[in-house]
Parts: sequence; structure tokens; C-alpha cells
Amino acid sequence: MTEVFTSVFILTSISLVLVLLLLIAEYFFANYGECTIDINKGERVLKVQGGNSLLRTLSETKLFLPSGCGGRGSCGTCKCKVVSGVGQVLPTEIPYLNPTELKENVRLACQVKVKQNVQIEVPEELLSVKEFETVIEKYVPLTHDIRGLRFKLPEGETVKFKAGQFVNLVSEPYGDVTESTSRAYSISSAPSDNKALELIIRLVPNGIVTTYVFEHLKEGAKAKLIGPYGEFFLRDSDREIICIAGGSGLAPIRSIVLDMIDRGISNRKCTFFFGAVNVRDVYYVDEFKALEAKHPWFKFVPALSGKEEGHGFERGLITDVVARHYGTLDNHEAYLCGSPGMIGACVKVLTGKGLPENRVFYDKFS
Amino acid sequence: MKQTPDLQHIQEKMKAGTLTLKGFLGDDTRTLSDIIAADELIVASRGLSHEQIAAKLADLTERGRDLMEGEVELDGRFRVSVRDDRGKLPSPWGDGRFEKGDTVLVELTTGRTWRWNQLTLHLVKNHGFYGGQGSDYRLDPQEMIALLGL
Amino acid sequence: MDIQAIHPLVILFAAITTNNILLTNFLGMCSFLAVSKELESSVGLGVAVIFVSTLTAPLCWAVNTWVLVPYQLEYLQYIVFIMVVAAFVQIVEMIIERVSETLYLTLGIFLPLITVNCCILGCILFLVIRQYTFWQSIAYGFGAGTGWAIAIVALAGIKERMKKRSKVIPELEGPGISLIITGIIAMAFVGFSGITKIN
Repeated sequence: MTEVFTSVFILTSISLVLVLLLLIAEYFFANYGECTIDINKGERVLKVQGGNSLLRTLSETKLFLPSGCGGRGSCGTCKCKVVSGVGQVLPTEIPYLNPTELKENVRLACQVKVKQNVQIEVPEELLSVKEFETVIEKYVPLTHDIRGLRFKLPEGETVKFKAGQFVNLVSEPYGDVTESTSRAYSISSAPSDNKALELIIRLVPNGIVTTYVFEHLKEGAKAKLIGPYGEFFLRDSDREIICIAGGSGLAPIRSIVLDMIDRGISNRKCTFFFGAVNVRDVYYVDEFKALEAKHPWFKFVPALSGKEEGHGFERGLITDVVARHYGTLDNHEAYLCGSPGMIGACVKVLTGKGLPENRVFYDKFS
Repeated sequence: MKQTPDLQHIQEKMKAGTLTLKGFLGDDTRTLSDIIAADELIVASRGLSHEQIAAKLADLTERGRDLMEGEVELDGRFRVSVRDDRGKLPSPWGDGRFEKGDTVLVELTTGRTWRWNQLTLHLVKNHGFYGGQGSDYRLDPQEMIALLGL
Repeated sequence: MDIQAIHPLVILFAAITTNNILLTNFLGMCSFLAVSKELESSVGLGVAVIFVSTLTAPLCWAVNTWVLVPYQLEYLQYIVFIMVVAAFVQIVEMIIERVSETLYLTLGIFLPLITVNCCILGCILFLVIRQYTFWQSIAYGFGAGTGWAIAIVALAGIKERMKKRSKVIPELEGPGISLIITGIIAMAFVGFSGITKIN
């Protein structure tokens, strides 16, 4: 009997001693204590708990670096310049960094651990990126594979963005998808409509987030949005505006046009060429036609490249329709939103008519 | 048959819900190395290479591209439409990120459909991976060889 | 033969040559085969194994001599030794992660492997069965780890050179040819036998 007690006692004591040693080791070695993150040469200084990745540590202080894979090291989006405070570049980062970036100490924030005081540099606008826990106020089918969603911000919160920017929509786990992830969608509502955000989302075959939107989101559902991000917005000038988009590319253009109306900008002519193949692919037609009727400086030109007739819209390839409308482009600016192929073709037509390349702005789908 | 830990990790990434909704393996129960080996056998036995097959498919994509994703008839035998979708997908091998837009090909005589995108073409060309059995993105080498007249 | 009278340095030498834990006793094969693809990671893993075996050998000797034997709990040896090695490896992992991120990435994945590596447990059980003294245990731990490390580095080196010059039939690629090479190295090490006896 005593043997049983002794053996159990000894075994338990040994286990306890080992656990104690592990806890002590964890306290001394795995505990990195408090560290500071100095952002943009002192513009913002954060006090954080060390031990986690830079991406995660920053997002816990509500500073969101863009991330396409949620920190798993498979997208290369979370690039951040780290001036000091971290070790050498890791093999998991190298595939995503080009030689210039490596020279300038650009790192992947999801792979770099905060173990001591760190100095980083991030683009200015990231400092105004926020996370919004929204509720879906409206969920509208716009075409057979496009949905328009209106996300209401929590009481008392507002969003500040430039028309043309985008946000990241976060999807929660569902079905076989075990982790959260996020994708970028352009904001289609006006900046003045700052208690909500509207997005236009098209279903992508085999897409994780768009399937989430189409199968799991509906009116009343909760959704997390992070933003705003992006370099696509209307430039201040008095030049005439040419907007060209197709499919869900309409979103930032709608935001820009609504914003011009809100800000009373009526001295710049603006024509929006919306390309599609068939009538079933165009949407928001009535809304844009109403805007056209009300604002003489705005023109809405849907351009269908399909074989359908009798719909009243202009017919032909978007590039041909655009070409038909203009002579020399000597005082114009162009805003394009679509695939690299569409943008490339439109840029060719526009520059062929004399538009300097630095007056063409685009939100490339890539 | 057992495979190396590296391929095991890659196979894990190919499962449904990890990189894409349905993953790359369909309902195939074989290991990744077995899938690749079986397809390799077919391609090699006809004296062809993965690069050749991938190149022909890439060519169809290029010729089938339309600014507004319209359908294009090619060679009198195929109807091709190429989608433009924003964003890139990472390769399960960790060797790059590729554009999403699918190319859908319909063979006019039979009505059969195949689909691929820049990522699946990269997997064919660089890794000899044609998709698991039952996957929407499976490009069976035998069918491809016959279809593309190789 | 009085084992306890053998000089520790003799034991160290023998643990590398005549009683090489991998080439003579064939313990620790799985990580040996898996990691020997690259010379660099083999060196890293080898060093990690030497470190773990040198320190856990005397540690387990102490636990065995001062706790298990006095209370006649020798039957708990397996469990207790594994627990000690596991805790030790965890602590080492935390230290490495703190000190060097790169080392952690190259070695970090191996450390849990070492815990269940039979060469560590084998080394400890041998020294207990042969009733080595404290200093003999340290010497044997260090020697066994070094012997294992030499074996894996040799195999990795040979495989790297073979990659460039030899053509191995596809059916034997990987584990097949590795085992054949290991067997040949083991036979070469048989040439050491008879120099000294430590068990």
C-alpha cells in the first residue's frame, strides 16, 4: 500500500517540479515584457506587450496593416518598413520581398515578432484605418451574380474616407472554411453618408469570401469592415472627367459621382462609361439616369458589347464607345476601374487621343 | 503510399476551405504524390510535357480574353470566356501568387466544360498537378491531350 | 569487468565509434532519415541533439539515482525520463526563440522531434542499465549525441554529393538509398569494434 502511495507521490512531485520549471522559464524567456512601437519617427508611439507578431500586435492597438491572408504568411500584403528592433530577414519572408525592399528593411509584419522596442514606418493613411463592427441594413440583388450591401456603422461611429477608396470585408469561418479571412471591396456610397458603407460584391467561383457573402450574410447580419485604404480618388482640378468601369468596378465611380454632387462640384463635366456584354449585366441604371436628368454636367453611358438589340443603350466594345465620344483629350482626366486588360486597352485609346498618362488614374483589379 | 512531409503540408493547404472554397483535390482520396505520379505517367507516355499542355491552355486564355468577359468562339470548336476577378491566390507550394479570373471552355460538339485559372495553370506547368478527381478545376491530361490536338 | 572503472573519456570515444547509438544500436532513425536531405539542417539538428543528450543524461542520472532507486521506483523510469526530456526541450525551445529567431526557425521544428527521438531515451536507458557513474553519464551523453550528429552529417554530405554525380533508380530514391548508405557506413564503423568495451 505504501508503495502505491510513494510511487504516486514521487511521480506527482516530479511532474510538479517540471511544471514549475517550465512556468519559471516561460516567465523569464517567453515573456517579452512591455515594448514600445515608434511609428513614423514618433508620430505615434504605442506601448504594447511583446511576444506576438507585428501584424497582430498592431491590430490589437487598432492599427490595421492590410492583410490578404490573415497573418499566415501566404499573401505578402502586410509589408511594413521596420527601421530597427527586429532580427534578420526570415526564410518565410524572402519570397515576397524584392531586392529594393530588402535593402530598405521592408518586412512582412506577420512574420516579424515584437520582442523589444521597435521603430516602424507606415503610410500616413494607415493611421486613420479603423475596424467597424457593422450590421447589414440592406442586401439587394443587383444582377444575377452581384449584390449591393449597405453596412450600418455602430451608434456614434462615423467613417472618414475619400470617394474611390476601398475597405476589407472580414469573413467568419463556415462550412469547410476554418479561419477568418478578408478581401477588398471598393466603397460605393458617398463620403457624406458617413454612418454607413455600401459595397458592391460579385460572386467569384470557388471564392471563400464572396460565397460567405452570398450564402451567409443577409439583412440584420453582423459584419466586420476594416478601412479605408487605397490610392484611387478624384483629384482636385478643373479638368473634364472620364470614368470607365465594368461589372463591380462601378462601385468607386458611383462614390466619386455622388461625392461631386454632395460637394457641389458642377463646373467639371463628367461622363461615366459603364461597359457590359448584355442588358442583364447592367444595374443602378435608373439611379444614374435620374442623376443625369438632375445634373447637366453628368452623363451616363452604358455600353453593351453583346448581340442584343433594342435596349436603347450604346452598342460596341467599351473602348470603341469611348473613342466615339471624344476628339483630342487636351483638358481631361480619366478614372478607370477594372481588370488589367480592360484598363490597358482603355489607356491605349485615351493616350492615343492625346491624354497624358499621368492624368489616367486606375484602381486595378489586382 | 506515404509522401514527404513537404508534400503533406502542401496537400493540407489544398483542402477545401483553406486557400479556396472547394480546394484543389475534389473527392480524390489519393495522396498528392500519387495524383501527380499518375498524371505524370500519362503525359510522359505520350512523349509530352506539362509545359506544352499549360502553354496551349494559356494561349486559349489569351485569345479568349474579352474586355467585358464576353464569350469568344475559337477555332470553330470552342467557346471561351475569361473572367476578371480582383485579387490573387497563393500557390500551395508557396511559390507565388496568381490572378483569380477563371477561363471557362466549352467544347461545342459535346457541350463539355473545363475551367482553369492562372494558378491552376501554374500548378500544371511547374508541378505537374492537374487537380484531384472530382475537382471543378481538374484538367484530366488524357482529355486535354485529345482536346488540344497534341 | 568493472564498468564503473572505465574512464569517462574512453566512454566518450567509444560512444562515437564502437557503440555509436545510431550506427551500432540503430536508434534515432526517423529524424535521421527525414532531416538528412540538407547538410545545413543536419548540422543544426546534430548540434541540437548533442546539446539535449549531454544535458539530459546527467539530469536523468540524478533523478534516477536520487529519487527512483532509493524508493524502488525503477519501473517509473520510462515515464519519468520522457517527462524530464520533454520539459527540458520545451525550456530550450523558449530560450532559442528568445535568443535567435533564425535559429528558432531552422531548428524550432526539430526540437519537439528530439523529445521523442529514441536516441535520447536510448542513451539515457543505456547509461542506467550499465550503471554508469555521474561523470560517465555526462561523457556518454555527449558521446552518443556526437556520434549521432557525425552519422547524420556524414549521411547528408554523402547524399548531397550523390545528388550531383550519381543516378539512383527512382524506386530507391529517398529512404531506400538512405538506408543502404547508412548500412554501408555502419559496416565501416564495425571496423572500430574491439578497440574498447564499455558495456
